[in-house]
Amino acid sequence: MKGTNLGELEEIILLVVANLFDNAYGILIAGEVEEKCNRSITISTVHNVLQRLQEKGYLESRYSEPTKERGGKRKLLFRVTAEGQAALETVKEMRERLWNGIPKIAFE
Amino acid sequence: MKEVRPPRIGVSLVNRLFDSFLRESIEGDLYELYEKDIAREGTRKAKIRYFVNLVLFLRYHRLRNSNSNKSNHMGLMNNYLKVAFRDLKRHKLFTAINLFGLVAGFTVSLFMLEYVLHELSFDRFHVKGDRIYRVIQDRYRNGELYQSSNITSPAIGRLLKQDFPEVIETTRIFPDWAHLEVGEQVLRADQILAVDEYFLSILDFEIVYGDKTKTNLDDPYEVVLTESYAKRLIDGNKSIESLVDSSFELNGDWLSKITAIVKDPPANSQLQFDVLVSFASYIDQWGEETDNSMDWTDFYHYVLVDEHVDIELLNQKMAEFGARYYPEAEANGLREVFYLQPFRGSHLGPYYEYDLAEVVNGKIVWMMLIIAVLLVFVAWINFINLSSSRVMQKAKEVGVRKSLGATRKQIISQVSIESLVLNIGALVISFLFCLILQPYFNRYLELSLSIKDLIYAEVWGLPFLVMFILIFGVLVFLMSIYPGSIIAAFKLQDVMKGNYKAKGEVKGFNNVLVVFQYCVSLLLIVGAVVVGRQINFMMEKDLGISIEKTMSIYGPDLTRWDSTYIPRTERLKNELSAFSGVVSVTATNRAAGRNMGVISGIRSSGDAEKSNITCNMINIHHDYAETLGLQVLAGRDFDRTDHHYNWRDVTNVMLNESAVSFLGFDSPEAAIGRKLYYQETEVTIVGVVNDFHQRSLHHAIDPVILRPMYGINKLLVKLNTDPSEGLLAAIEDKYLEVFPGNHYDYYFLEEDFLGLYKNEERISKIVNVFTLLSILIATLGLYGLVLINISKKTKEIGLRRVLGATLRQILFAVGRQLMILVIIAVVIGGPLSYFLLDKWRAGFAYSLGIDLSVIIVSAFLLFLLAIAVLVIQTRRVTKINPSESLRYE
Repeated sequence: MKGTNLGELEEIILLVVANLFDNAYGILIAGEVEEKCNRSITISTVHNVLQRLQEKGYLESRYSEPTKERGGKRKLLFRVTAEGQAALETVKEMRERLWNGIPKIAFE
Repeated sequence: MKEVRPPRIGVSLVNRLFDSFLRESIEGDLYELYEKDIAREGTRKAKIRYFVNLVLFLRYHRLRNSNSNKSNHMGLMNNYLKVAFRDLKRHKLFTAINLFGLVAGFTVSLFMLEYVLHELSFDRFHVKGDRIYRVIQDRYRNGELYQSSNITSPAIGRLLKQDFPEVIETTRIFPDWAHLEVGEQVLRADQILAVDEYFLSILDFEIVYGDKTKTNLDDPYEVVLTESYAKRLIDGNKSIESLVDSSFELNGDWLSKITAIVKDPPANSQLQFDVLVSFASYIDQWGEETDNSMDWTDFYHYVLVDEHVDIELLNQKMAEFGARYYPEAEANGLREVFYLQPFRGSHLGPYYEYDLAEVVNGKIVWMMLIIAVLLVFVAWINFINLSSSRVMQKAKEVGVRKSLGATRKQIISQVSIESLVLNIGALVISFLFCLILQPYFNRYLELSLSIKDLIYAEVWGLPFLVMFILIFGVLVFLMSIYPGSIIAAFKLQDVMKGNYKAKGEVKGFNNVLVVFQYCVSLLLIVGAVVVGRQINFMMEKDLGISIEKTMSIYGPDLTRWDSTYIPRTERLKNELSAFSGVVSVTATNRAAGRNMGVISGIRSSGDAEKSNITCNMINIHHDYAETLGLQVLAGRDFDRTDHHYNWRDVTNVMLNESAVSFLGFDSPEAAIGRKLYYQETEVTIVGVVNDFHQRSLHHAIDPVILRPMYGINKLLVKLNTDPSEGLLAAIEDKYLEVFPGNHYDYYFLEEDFLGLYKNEERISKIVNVFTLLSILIATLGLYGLVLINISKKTKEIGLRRVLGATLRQILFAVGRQLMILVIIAVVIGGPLSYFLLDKWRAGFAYSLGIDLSVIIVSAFLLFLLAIAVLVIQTRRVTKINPSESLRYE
């Protein structure tokens, strides 16, 4: 398995996938990232990150039922795996630990 | 909802390129994006985005893998690459020749592509461009077309809109110039367009400051400025936005308000302007005539038609239009035919008389593209010839690979890699060169192109860059396979025995290529000489009028025409003539090199049948002919008594020689004392001058009526030397003393006139560069080819020498074939170049014949070059001691 640490973008996308539960696919994810995080992102980058996360075992994917939309092409839907959830929690804990460790005086 | 269909090429690329599992999801996502982009930005941009996204998707791990045994395949590829680089390094001379040819060819062709794409991009920025048309008016006299132009009367637009529901909107344009008084400053604006309120809604000139929602230019005395002109009007520290809603004087007393500021028209806009003035101002100043005259044809119309209008059909319907509104013309044997010309592409011609837009010869633009492609082919031919000849040297290596079990496909791909590396390397270097050399290229051709013209260009709605890379890729691929397939065709046992010779058809193909190369070179040499000579001819031909060392000073436009005008003008002329260095001074309304005015409805006593003649007319001062060296052939020159304060009292005119027969007189002498009638006046012909070129030599000499009038549009000052700073300053002072408050500016007539040949000069420069490079590349190629052939014949030459052959005999033996090829090239290329250049020449009213000796000398030159290459190489081999050369191989 590749390294288990999460990059910033990876974390965001993993979170977005979790947010969109069971309906997460390329375009929608890109749209959410643009809307919620206020950053522009190309679709190919999204795909790339999704692919990487899947290789790390944090995401699993399956094809949806075919619909009439998008020229009849199926969507590749992503879902966060248990490992993915664990990784997100680790990051969150780590962040909290670090936040808690900041002496009050530092941000005054 | 309309069904959305992404570009077909894109979809098939997706299917071909991507991994089978991911493919569907990628295709779907691209589709969805495409849908959104169409809704947001229109189909054209969406298509570009589709391709951009597609390219961004290309990452290695997603690509389809045809070979399951991935690692092994990659290992071999690495090995091929390594071998290719080693090979290129070992044969430095060949690499250099190939690389030089390719880089030179590519670089120049990239520049040419920029130029061509720039010309093709004209007026593409108007969003509704494909629905905009220009109104053209053809005028026939007794069934004969005598004028085809896009000047029409000001009422035409309204009538078109009223008669044809297909025409949604029309805008009319009247080009003018004026003086702007802002504070203390008086500025001259040469490029003013008087336009109506539809101008900015039909055409897309973006408003940067001012109210975008309101209609601009509908009321009298509204003005819109371009950004750069606005900058000239204010101090550097104020923003140009502050100009909006401010007022100033136009033409002395037109108090006008600036309502908006627009971006400068881009370089690829045919319509160029500094200032837009509302058409209503002109109607207010000059009367209702300006709005509804049917005979005053100085106005240009651009119309917007409805979607899905069949323009052929509309033009057919318009056939009746002229007869409907010009019934009396019809009775006089005249016919006015109106039709619409697509705005897009009108930059490439045809040229209509008095066009206000810049028009280039579209054929020449395409010709440049063809020459650029030819040059690339010349470089590629070198490449093919050299690499296929050199293939033999690789045969042993390939033999070893074959015996170790390499498949045919593998052999071909190994040999092809080398050429791929070279071509891609050359392309990359050429792009870099392009970037570095751009400013020099621009300065040389007086253009302002940039690599952006290439990168952002679109052809047939597709991004040019994608097409370019595809076409380039396919061609390079085909070319790379060629040497590989020759070598793969060798039989293993032959190769290992050392017995390998190229098959007959391979040599035959190479020969065809050499012939092609030399044909192109010959064509270009002849072309360069003919084009160059034509330009010299035009620049040096006697114009019949002497424009050398003549200053042309803009007239005092701000001074009113009143009774003091004539004495003041005479005083200025007299005092200027007294300056040392000044020969004489005169004035006219149409300086040489500029279009002439036209007067219609003339009746001539020389030809009773024609009742409505249209002829060119120039107003001149009485000393015009003398100052500019016109010869009076019959009758007398004008004198001061011919001028009158009231123009209706002017009753004497002169003609040029062409006008004599045009107006139906038998000879210059016969015309003297005869009458002409126009605009309710009767005039007498008092003199005839020789024919002279008012316009460039593209045009035939026009018949001209010369009228003695005191207005000054251009004050012409004939000097006897190049003017000193002091003289120039003195002339300016004197001018402003006599006509205070005016704006002083001048240019030199000859310079201005020669500027009319700028396009030809540019072509000549381009052709020269092409020619030089083509000869250089072809000669280098020949050099390489001879080098290979002769080294193969080292043994033969050694033998011949031992048997007592002289250098000449050896030359004949080894070079015979090559010479035959060059001769064939000359036989084909000579007539071809004659044919093509003869067509080019037809665009000039006055041209030099194509001298056959030019073709012969050019052919001879090529022949000499080939022989020189051959002699140098042969001498080198013959100098080797036969005892060594016989041991060769």
